[in-house]
Amino acid sequence: MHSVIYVIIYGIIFASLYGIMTVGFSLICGLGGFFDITLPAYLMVGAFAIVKLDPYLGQYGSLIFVVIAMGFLCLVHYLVFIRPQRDNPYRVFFATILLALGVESVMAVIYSASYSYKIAPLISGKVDFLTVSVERQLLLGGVIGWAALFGLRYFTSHTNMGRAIIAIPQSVRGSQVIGLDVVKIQALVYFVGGLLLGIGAYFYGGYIGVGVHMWAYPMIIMFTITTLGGLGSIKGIMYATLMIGVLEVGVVTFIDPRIRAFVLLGVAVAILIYRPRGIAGIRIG
Amino acid sequence: MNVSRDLYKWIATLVVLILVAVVLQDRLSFVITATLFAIFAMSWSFFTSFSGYLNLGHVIFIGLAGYTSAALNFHLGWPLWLCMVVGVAVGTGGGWLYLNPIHRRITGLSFEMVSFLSIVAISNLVVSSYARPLTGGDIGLSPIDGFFSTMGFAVALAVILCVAGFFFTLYLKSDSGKIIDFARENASIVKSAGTDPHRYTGRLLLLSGLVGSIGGVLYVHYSGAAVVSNTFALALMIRIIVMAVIGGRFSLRGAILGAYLVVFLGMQLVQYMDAYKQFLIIYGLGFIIYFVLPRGLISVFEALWNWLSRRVFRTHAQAPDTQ
Repeated sequence: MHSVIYVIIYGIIFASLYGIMTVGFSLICGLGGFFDITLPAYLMVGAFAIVKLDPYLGQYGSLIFVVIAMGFLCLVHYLVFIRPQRDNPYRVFFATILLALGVESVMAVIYSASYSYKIAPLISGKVDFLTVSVERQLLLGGVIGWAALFGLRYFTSHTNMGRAIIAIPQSVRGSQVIGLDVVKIQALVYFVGGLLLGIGAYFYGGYIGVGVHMWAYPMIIMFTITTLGGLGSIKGIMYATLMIGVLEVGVVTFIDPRIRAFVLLGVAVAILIYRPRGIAGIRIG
Repeated sequence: MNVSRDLYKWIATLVVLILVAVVLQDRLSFVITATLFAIFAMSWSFFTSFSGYLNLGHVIFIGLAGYTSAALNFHLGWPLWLCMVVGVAVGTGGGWLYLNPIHRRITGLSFEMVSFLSIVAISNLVVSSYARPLTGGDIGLSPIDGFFSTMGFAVALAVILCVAGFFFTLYLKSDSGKIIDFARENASIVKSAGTDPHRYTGRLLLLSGLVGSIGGVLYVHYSGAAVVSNTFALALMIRIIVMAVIGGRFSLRGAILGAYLVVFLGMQLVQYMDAYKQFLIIYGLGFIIYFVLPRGLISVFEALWNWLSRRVFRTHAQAPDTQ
């Protein structure tokens, strides 16, 4: 029974970490109809920035600075690299692959590929939650993550801007006809996505350690959750991230941690073959 | 369809590749590696560029073929030629039986993701302890019978590459190829005419997988080991994509050019710097090339050829020959 509670609690916490990293990615991909591979690489850049700025700005200062800087980084990335070619999803995909690999190479040259850094937690210590011992920092990340997801869900269903973000992927032409500025909205989504990536970088990097290759697994998770949940669907992301989080912890706890990726991705592939649009996906126009 | 013109072009390509091997005899290992990657890049580009489906699971063919061949050789001691034949059959058939139904059911970004997630899942399974008795786990299968860096092997690979390229060209210029070309942008019109475009893209996938599988068994036996890094790895898939994109995505010879360029650039850079600085230069260059020349480096050669044709042969400029 203790193991089941452990799986549920840690599954929900990890789900929120993955969710907060993925939700911006999913909105960006859903809005544009393309996959921007550079975003997971920027997660790694954000984590490094937090580590390196901590001695100068302090914990809170470096976190706030990096979160805002990530928002602007993603905005500039959109304006410079994505906007000129946003009508061609394959061009975006290939260009962002090259850019992501270039970013990783730059970071590896500067900081060495073999080193791993630690992010100091905002709150240390553990707390007993339903007989399961949980790190306070991780619990904080879980609370912030789910708050952000529910907040975004409310935003996209109860505000005009949010509804516009959801509507545009269904028909870009139709959205333009009714006067929506697709470019401006995409830029906004990139900015917000960057902010969320910055928060995700802090909590995920704090848990796993900061290294040059730390973005590879989040990239896989982001892709999995995005397609499983359905492009551009916050509700889908919430369901998918919960499923992935609980399943991952379950596999590690009850089956074998060495095949966690196989089980996770195998389930995701099976679901996508049965339901290509994902759990709550919208048709991309 | 001018078959002889295409044949002469591929013969000329073969001559160039053999000349490269002759000139770089002291670096034959790089020439062979470049040719093997050219086989991968060309076979990937053949399906992805002309069908419109971005297949991120091409290494399924490579890995299935390579591991099957290696496993038969390692565990059962079968002769090399038989292992390779069976490996190619299993790689082609297994990969096609998995990817074909998926591409019939899923299109667009979802197909990319399913193919991408599949290779990550398979990689994880192959290195797990459950599969270790068969695949050797993360250590892989070694030693296995293999090939050495000889001029004969280098020439044989170049011949395989150019023969495959010639047959790809013939297929693309056939009636089936024209349907695929049209269906890429107008699938609904093709369906309305009573034709299932997936039938044709499925054939494209089969041919692409066949050549990829051939490359897979050759690569594994040249490497002397079957490990995830030279078969199912995501890094290998990305490397193949980068080569094809740099060389020219809609060009079979462009994929060959991209593969040779990336491998030889790495060969030159390895003398002066570590791996990540090499990657930085290669991917940085690739990024710049992709923005400046969206059709890849092959477009430079095509422009040069057209200019030469006008000046030297006094013929009219031709539309870029994508094959």
